[in-house]
Amino acid sequence: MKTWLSRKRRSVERRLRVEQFGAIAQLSWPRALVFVDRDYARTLGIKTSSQWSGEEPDIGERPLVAPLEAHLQITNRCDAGCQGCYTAAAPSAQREWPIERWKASIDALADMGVFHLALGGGESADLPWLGELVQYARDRGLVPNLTTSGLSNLSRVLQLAPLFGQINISIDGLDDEYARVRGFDGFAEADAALIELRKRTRNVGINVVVTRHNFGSLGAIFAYAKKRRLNEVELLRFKPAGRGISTFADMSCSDVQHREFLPTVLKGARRHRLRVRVDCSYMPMLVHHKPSRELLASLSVYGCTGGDFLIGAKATGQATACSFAQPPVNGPNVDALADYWKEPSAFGAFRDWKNAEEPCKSCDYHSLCRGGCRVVSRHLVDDERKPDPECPRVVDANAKHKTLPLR
Amino acid sequence: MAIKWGLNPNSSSLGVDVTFLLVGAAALSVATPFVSALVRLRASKRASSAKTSESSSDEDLAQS
Repeated sequence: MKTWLSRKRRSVERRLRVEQFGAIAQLSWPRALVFVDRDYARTLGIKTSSQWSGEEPDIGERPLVAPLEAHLQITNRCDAGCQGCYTAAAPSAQREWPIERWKASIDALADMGVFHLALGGGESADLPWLGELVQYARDRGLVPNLTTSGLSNLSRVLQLAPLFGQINISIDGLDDEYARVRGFDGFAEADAALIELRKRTRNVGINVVVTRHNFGSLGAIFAYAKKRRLNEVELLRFKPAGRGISTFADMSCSDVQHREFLPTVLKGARRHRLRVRVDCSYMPMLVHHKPSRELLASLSVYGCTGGDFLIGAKATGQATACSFAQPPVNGPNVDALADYWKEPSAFGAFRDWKNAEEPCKSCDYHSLCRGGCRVVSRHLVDDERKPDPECPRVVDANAKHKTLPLR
Repeated sequence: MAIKWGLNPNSSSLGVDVTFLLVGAAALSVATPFVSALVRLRASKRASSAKTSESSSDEDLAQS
């Protein structure tokens, strides 16, 4: 009976969510979220909605009615000790939420209309109740995805693999370079985990934190991903959060590397016929090359969408605009997000991106880029409302006014 | 219509698929009608399976 119920509920996967601009439809194949306007949404059977009472905005013009995805840091415990860990995860952690609170959070997020979960940590694979939580998410119609180091409790991850939409293993470099970036030698073990995982599911990729030290090896990393028959490589900009605060100056890419980022990535993707994803903080480095605005919009490519398209939650349950951001003052726990979400001042600077200063204000891509990474701004110029100081356009503007040295 | 492809496993960012920048607008113009047809097909299947409902509200559809 329990199994039948479970299957029955699993089939009730969220397919359509009404938005002020129209609706978002979810496809499981191909895996995609499709944003449609009100006219199109009517053809899908939505006669009317309370969300459609006002003027029809463009996509991205106003905050979504709920996040597309929630990034849950379900533990902050991890034995790896990576030198750039953005959560400063450690072998012992306190005040972490038990599974019951995370289940309540999944209920709350499902009720809001969230589509996807990204589970991370810490090392989520170490949690004995990971499987129970993942199944619970499936039962509530959410698609769970996982990032893991591959260095711990691999057997658990292998067992649960079919339940995840996508699993990525963090590999920031090959062979000795892994140690240079992460601070310890774990490549062989992570590689072995990747091989085993790929035997269980095809939805496996790697996360690569790009630093000034491994930037020159991206081609080799792409070749490795192709050799391992991975379905994607996701490139992440090094963030000044957690232990990354103290190592940021030494690890973050140079200005020259940032300007070379997109051509380098596209060259590697073309050569190895590989799917490459980049994180939202790379948007300034993408638009530096003036891609078609229409193409970016039609691919729903946006910069900082923290507190809008996505939210994070700390291991202690506090909701954040993104995984790197500090919890907002008087902000809620993630299991009580719904009311806070509707507040006009929710998530502060993250949602207030339209109120930008130069050179963002006059940038043709600002409505897509939204000013770059708020976390980097906070770290480098002590103000998360300032333009991302690592954006090439901002670097040029600052060089003109000699306000910041080029690195 | 805008399409956000794939699933994001990364608990630290919203992954953006840049591979389409390689193939450009031409490829997307081929993919979009295909995706559009799939969305309509799924919607019609939902409608037929829920035809006992008098009218579809957004709340109904959001959960279906």
